[in-house]
Amino acid sequence: MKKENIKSVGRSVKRIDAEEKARGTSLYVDDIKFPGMLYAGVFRSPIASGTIIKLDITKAKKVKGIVTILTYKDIPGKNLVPVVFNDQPLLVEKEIRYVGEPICLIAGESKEIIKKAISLIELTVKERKPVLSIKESLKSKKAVNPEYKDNILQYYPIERGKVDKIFKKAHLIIENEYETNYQEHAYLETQGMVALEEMNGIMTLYGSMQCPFYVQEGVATVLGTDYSKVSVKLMTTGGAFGGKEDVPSIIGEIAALLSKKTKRPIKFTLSREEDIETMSKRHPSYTKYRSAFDKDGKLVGVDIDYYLDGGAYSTLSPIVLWRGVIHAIGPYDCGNVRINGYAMATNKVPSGAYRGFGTPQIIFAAETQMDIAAEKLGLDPVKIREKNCFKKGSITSTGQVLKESIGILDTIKKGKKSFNYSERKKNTEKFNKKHKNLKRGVGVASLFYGVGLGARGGPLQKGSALVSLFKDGSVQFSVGTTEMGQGMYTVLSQITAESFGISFEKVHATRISTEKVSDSGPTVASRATFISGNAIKVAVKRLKKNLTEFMFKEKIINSMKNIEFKNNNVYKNGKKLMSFTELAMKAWLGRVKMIEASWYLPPETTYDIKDGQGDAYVTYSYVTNFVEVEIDLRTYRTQVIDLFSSEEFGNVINPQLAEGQIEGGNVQGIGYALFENTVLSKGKILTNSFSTYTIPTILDVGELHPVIVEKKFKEGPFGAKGMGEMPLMGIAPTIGNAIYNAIGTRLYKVPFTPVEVYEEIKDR
Amino acid sequence: MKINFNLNGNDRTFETEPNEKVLDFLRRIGLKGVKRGCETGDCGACAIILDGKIINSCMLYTGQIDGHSITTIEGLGDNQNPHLIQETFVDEGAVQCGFCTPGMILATKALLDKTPNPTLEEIKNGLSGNLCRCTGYVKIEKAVVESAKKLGGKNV
Repeated sequence: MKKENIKSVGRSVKRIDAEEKARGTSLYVDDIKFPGMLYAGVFRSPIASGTIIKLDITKAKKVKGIVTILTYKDIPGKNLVPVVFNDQPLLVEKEIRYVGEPICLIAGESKEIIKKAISLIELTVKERKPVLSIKESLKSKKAVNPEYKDNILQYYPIERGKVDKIFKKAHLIIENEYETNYQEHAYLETQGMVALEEMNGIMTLYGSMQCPFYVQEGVATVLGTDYSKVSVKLMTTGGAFGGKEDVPSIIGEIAALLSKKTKRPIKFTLSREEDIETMSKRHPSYTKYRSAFDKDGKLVGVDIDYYLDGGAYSTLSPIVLWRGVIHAIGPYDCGNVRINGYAMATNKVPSGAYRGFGTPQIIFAAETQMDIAAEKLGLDPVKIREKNCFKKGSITSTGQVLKESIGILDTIKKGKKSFNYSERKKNTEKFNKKHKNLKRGVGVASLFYGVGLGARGGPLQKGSALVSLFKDGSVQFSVGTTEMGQGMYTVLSQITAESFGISFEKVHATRISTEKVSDSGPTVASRATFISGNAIKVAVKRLKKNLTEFMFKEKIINSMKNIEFKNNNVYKNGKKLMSFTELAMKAWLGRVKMIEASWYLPPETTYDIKDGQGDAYVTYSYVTNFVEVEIDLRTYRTQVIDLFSSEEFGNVINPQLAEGQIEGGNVQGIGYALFENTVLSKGKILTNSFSTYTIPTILDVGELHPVIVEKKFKEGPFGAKGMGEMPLMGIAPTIGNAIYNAIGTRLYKVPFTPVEVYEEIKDR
Repeated sequence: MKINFNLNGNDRTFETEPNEKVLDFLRRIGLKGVKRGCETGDCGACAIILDGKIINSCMLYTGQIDGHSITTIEGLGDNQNPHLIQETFVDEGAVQCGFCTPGMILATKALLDKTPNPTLEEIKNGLSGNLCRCTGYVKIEKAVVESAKKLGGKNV
């Protein structure tokens, strides 16, 4: 027993929720049912832009089994989906701004009955010509939304150094335009909520989401009631990826309004078709990118115009755009930077949060530019990145000086070695000489990413936790961030156990709910480990203080110095006092406070919105991807052979879960790069199923090799930063650069479908 | 109409509407491990084993299972012990959000029952009808390989 050293952090402990999921017994929102429960449905706009002349629901109301139909007039509170600018109504009043915009809400005994009622609603509209792309939005004289006269939902500039001057004397200037399409989250579980009034008239929602506090705000807003009369509880959530950040407020508002009206529980779940057509997705983008280099290959100037297609309402576009702008030049120190970022309004479903949050689009442009520069300067693509990447003391485009935990160069070096870069490059050349129709190539791309909400997170930059110690020495905790499949419950259990020095098995995560902890923002921005982990550490520290003070009061110890909690025991000056369980029981008998609600505020940021200068994020994580691809010149189809994603995100709490995030994110990146393609007609999404919007299957992914670089971040819980989003973000340029290496065709549009590759080859 | 079929090892009789999908029927009788992912036969979250073959239950009407034998995730393992494949999925980190997991595990079971020592290609083909958006499939593939090893070529 003497050598026992209980560790929870840094080990691949088993996920605490995996067995129930493998048995199929884990409860998702669609698996719960309450007595008297009704179903919900929505009558939606069939057109992209127009005015409602007449709406007739009389026939629909008469369908047997229809309990109620609501229009905006029936909303007791505000007709609003609160996000950032509060410009989106829940239900159309007069002006329709996108296909699928909700007009009426219906509650009925079954989904079939609701479908029938929807078909009987009569809508007369005066149609207008819709604005359907970024370019149309820039040219249009007519505003999509009168609140944004020039169709600009949000604008951010960054200006640093002397851009015009440097471009005049630069050795090499590279100027290109880039475009990217939507990306659909394709979480396997569609959106859903159940709403019912539970005891004391509290409207209670059970659902699938990333932020119960957003849903609480939305429901209180439409009901016109107190926040304290709304509770939101998390069910097992079947994937989210940003797609369940803000839009669950819409789902919750609908379910709650219908429940309030009918006085019955309401289940509102979306079909896959309705989910794809009406929920948020990654913003399409259009970028004009100019880069200037000196003769040694140093990036000396950047001038970027970055446009996102925000859709009909601003939703999260202001924040998505900000993140994109901050990361627009990549992980490189460059003194002369001009960035103009715009989120444009169009008559389409609002775009929103998606893993990477406005960054994958601009990284695609930035890292393609870097590759082009390497070739023109006769430098190796890896060399040019090594030369330009951040080192200690480097300055970001917002003027932030980087001081600690800067792993970008390490990710390049370790990735290059694992990938066997030089050898592999030679082998592909040999392969290409032998094969007429199959061509192979290798590609590389680097990126950095701010962990947490950063300066634009404002009041949301906080973490909260509730930790409760029982008299048997076991511990429960809850936090404000959610488990959506990423493994947060497990990682935070490890952090709790390690902080107490007790076995992982003694710690239990409980359901996330607005009833337990205070509003601490959404589960986004790769922040859950950092923000909730630190909040837990604060609570555990206080509990240990309570226990220590108790031991002093009881004369078990003669001073409160040199007390250690480890190996399920308590020590003073290295000598064991008693087991943790014994202490817990004694403390309970002694009426010690055994529950602590805690609060964690990350270090301040200094970013100024006017000139885009200052510290934007507390810290950054870093990635360099290496890929080998094969293109079949008969079909123009690209297949990934090997992908090495070399990532630094502080210290690792759970290696197996970290690998799982890397592999999963990489595959979403492969889908984004190669074949996930949304097609619209007159603003209506045609690719509304998995047979038309194809995501990667097990046959499409090639061999994945996560490479993990550890670099401690002192402020992080046990040295951790954050890592959920980075694995997806740089895959498109890595593959694009590899395709160029294979066939000499440069691609400027994501996704690189066979048609896109053919178009580029044909035009050459 | 009445249908008779074998459900997870027991002969059962149920009253159903002829136009009821097997997915809806199974969830109605309480087998919530059968997940609704797309209802167009594309994702495999609702997959069940029908006479030894993996099939999407959203593409079947109840009349089509009359006289047949089906296995759902609830039919694997028992109350105390999960099935070896379930255990292996947990150990290998093949479970994230869990929504595809029942279908994946049943696809693995159907594959290994028929092909106890599968090649990697056979594994990929066997699981190609099941979408997963979280894991990137690496740990799922590993879980299948390990399950096959542990089962040692035996059908369980």
